[in-house]
Amino acid sequence: MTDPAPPQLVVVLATGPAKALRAQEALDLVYAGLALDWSVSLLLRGDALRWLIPGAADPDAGPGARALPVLADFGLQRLCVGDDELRAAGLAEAPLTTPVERLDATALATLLGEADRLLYA
Amino acid sequence: MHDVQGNKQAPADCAVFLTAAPWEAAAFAAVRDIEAAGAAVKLVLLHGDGVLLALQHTHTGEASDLWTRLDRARRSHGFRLGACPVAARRRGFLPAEREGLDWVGLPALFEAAAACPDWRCHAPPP
Repeated sequence: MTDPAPPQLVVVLATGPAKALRAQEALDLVYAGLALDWSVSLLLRGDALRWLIPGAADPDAGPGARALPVLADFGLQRLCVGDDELRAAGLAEAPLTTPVERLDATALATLLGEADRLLYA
Repeated sequence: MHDVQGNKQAPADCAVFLTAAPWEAAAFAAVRDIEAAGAAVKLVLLHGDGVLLALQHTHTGEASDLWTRLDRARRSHGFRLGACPVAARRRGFLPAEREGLDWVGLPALFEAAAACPDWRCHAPPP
């Protein structure tokens, strides 16, 4: 008999380096899900895309700048952005602080629609 | 909610996750959602700026209308009201005791919420 699939948790982070506390608390949600061995994805939207710009945040000040590149080591399943949103932000061809999965509109809708658990921070 | 035959179905048990500050529209929407869902609400989780909803009351003694409504809903429907103590400390507050309020860490809150098939989140806009 196979084990049931773990709950899926999608955390949507929409605040950038200017609101570091909220970013930290979005990461808290990610860590809590990982501590329970849930399947956790982190979707960056809006101002949160700025976490991906090298040098945009002081690495000593911003928790997101430090944490994003190592979340996969802690078991994060997916770190995603909407491809359209990345283009609109002028970051489609830019070097980013960490590799991200770029979702087209259909994949983005699927992620949001199929997530069993969805949290915004 | 109705099934395909048009029979009224009981709403699924739900957990409401509130991260908006009490002066933000999303917090008012959360409380309206909780009041409307009635007994279906099994758990309300305060995290981030959402903990200020409880702290405003516990530390100043002045209950906001929003806290009064949330507390009234809790007394009526008996849901568990959890709040993250780390979020409180980050905002410079000690997690003061209050009847009906559980200061528990996120993993424990998540485990409780995992039993609810419906999660609803009320967060501030970016």
